[in-house]
Amino acid sequence: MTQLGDFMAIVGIDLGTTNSLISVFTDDGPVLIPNETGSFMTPSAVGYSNANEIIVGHAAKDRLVTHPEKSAAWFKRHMGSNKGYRLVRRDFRPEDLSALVLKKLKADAETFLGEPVERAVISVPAYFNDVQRKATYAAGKMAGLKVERLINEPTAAALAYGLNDKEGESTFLVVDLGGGTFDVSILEIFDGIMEVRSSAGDAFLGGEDFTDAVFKMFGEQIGPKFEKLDAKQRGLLRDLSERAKHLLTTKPDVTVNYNGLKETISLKITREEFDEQTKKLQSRLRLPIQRAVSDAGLRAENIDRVVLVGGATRMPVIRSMVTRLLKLFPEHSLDPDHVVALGAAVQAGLVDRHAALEDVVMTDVSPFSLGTNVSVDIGNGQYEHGHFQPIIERNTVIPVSRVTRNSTLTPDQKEITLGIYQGESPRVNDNIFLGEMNIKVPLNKKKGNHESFDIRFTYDVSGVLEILVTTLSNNETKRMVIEGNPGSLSQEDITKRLKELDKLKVHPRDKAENLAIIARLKRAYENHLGDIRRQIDQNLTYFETTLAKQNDTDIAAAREKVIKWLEEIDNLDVF
Amino acid sequence: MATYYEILGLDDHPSDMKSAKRAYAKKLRVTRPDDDPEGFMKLRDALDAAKNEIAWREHDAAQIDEPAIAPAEDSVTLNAQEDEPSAVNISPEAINDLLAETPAEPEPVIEDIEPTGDQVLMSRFSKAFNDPFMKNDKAHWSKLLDEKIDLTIDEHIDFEERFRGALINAYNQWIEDKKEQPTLRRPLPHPIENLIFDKMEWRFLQETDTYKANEVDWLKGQFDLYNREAPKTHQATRVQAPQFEDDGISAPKMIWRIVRTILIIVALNYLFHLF
Repeated sequence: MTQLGDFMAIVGIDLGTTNSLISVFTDDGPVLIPNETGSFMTPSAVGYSNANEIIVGHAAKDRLVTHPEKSAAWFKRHMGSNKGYRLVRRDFRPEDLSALVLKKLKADAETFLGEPVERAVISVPAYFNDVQRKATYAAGKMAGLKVERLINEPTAAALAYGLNDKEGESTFLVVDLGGGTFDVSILEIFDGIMEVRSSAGDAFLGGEDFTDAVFKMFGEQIGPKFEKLDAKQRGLLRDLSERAKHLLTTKPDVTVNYNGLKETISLKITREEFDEQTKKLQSRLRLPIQRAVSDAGLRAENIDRVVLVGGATRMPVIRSMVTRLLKLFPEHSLDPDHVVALGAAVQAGLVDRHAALEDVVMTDVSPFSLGTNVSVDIGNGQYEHGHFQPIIERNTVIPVSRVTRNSTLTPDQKEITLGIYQGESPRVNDNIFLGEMNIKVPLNKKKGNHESFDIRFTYDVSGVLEILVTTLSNNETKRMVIEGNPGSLSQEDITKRLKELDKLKVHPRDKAENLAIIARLKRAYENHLGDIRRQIDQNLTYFETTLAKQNDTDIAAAREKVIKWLEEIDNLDVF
Repeated sequence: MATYYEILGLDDHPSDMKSAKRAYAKKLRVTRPDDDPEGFMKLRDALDAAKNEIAWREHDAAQIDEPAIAPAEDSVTLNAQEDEPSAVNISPEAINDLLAETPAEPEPVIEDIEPTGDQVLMSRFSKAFNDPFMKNDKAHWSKLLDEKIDLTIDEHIDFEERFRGALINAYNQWIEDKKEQPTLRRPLPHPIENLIFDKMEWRFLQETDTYKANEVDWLKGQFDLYNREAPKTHQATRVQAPQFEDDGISAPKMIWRIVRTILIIVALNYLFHLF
């Protein structure tokens, strides 16, 4: 490592719906940081252990099956909302749970780098709105990180790919289908400049929706009993659904043995059925791609390369759909699960002014439109309120400053109330409300005249929106700033929650791997019957007694043995 | 004030987009968006100015190249330049031709050229549109609209434009015809209109291109979709400069306003004394 001493590295973080990764930029380029199990991917799952300690990652994910009431996952989907997760008499917001994941990643990086980590670049889906972005900022703060920048996930992916080809001149389209979100970006590289031309996406489409589809198909096969399944039995079935979905990428059909009920139920799914059942989900890929293409002022035939990012793009249905839409075979030379984290590290390197990136400049766009509400004359002296007037159009290069002139509705109007919105609907009601300004009409204005206002929007690279309203008759200017942070939680809230999270007892990192194995054994126990169950029990006892002896070499050997055995078992019920 | 090409670091107008971009790339390294946002915004505007100028130059050059099509008068030249005539200019026969002609049965001339996906789909749409029974069949429309899943991105862009154009023509025609036959039925029943808007995903601002956005907006007005979504916000800025300056306020309106104000004051006084 080069970053030592008083020079602290900025880390890049891919805070995903299903998995999260952390990385750092070094002289050799972006590098992923492994967690305690040696894997780069940490499941974005949080839970309480039986000793009431907080656990994050693999163990928490397995415990979703055995202890659904003590575990939570997929909370990224609810970032910025008020959805609460109740785990053992305690309420968590999605920000809290994300902060716990971030804290865990931070600890991994500190172990790996041998120095404290305090600054980070976190990736977010391009289609995350302002509220969701603020929530991500807040989560970072609660984890004790200074969030230097949020980077759009497809932009990060493009950075990772672009860095390999920075001398070239090409236009490429990034298709990023993650666990919970779908993003598309078009990137143009010329003379070492990486320019994002456009971004579009669907914040509610991801691999998890395809797992849900398999889950539903299995549910139909189980029949009426499906409705009566409890949380644990459902968790078990969903776990099987996910594994079946993964196996379907390489096999034409998959059978699973479901042991959640008293007898073993064999459930089968073929790739054709899966393709048929997910038609609706597949069709949702089209609109964002089309939008990105036309917003960039291009046609699909102008695209040189298509790059696939996100674990869900492993599904053959996605690949064939993308090929059909763009008439171009997509490439995936980098691991689709790692690309975003690698790109986040590149952005961290850029923020950090790393020498290796001296010649690289990246420009990004605002993926959404920003504007105000206006009333529109519909004839007969009538006005219709609540129309959206974009001031900064989506996919404009940032930083950007744009101005529009509006005037009062009636000559005797005393005040205007200016609503600030983000979104693409022609009606403000369907867009996201960001703030409101009240501007008084000057009293000395000539009677019977309308008052006009110049409304200037300035949007910068860190997501800060500044609004300046100038009243024309007296040239007075009123200013408002909508910040990228602190967001829906106030500054005090964040500090308070930071302290509360610090009070939570976190399971020691060096024991996490063993805990993960125990959780996995227990999950396997839940999912089996009869003989295998007894064998699992034996393995569990064997592992626990080895742990009790506290001999590290023995424990490592036992770990390896049990993992190998568990893999064999897994292949028994999903094949 | 510096000209745009000076901001780009050039001595003269750039000859093509490539040289403009190269100059921009060079300047960008010393005017990074993070360090110098003001400078970057200027640089970016300069590149956009170059883009516009080059586009105009190409547009003008194209006009000179085609004197045969373009007679002397400017307005005609402009019309001839357009690929597709604008909605208002097209005659009713032409619309039906446009709708009917799309190759349901390909003519011999284009037989060896495979019709693109959007053309095939468009012809089936025309068929549904012109058939009095199919026209009202929601299930049929739904099925047709679902078939666009098989189009490529480019075909879809073309299809969307054609389809929207055809609808605009049909509704324009209807508005014209209604002047003579006030009872004339709408080209499509409301449920179908709604379905089209949903399936074509036109409810959101699809297009940053104002021309296309206006087309969608116009259709939305014709489809009467605005009136069915009652807006709730009360707001007081407006898009245009005042348009009724000369109207003044009529006397009865003025009197009503005064009476209203007095009534409010009286009511407030009353309330005030009550507590």
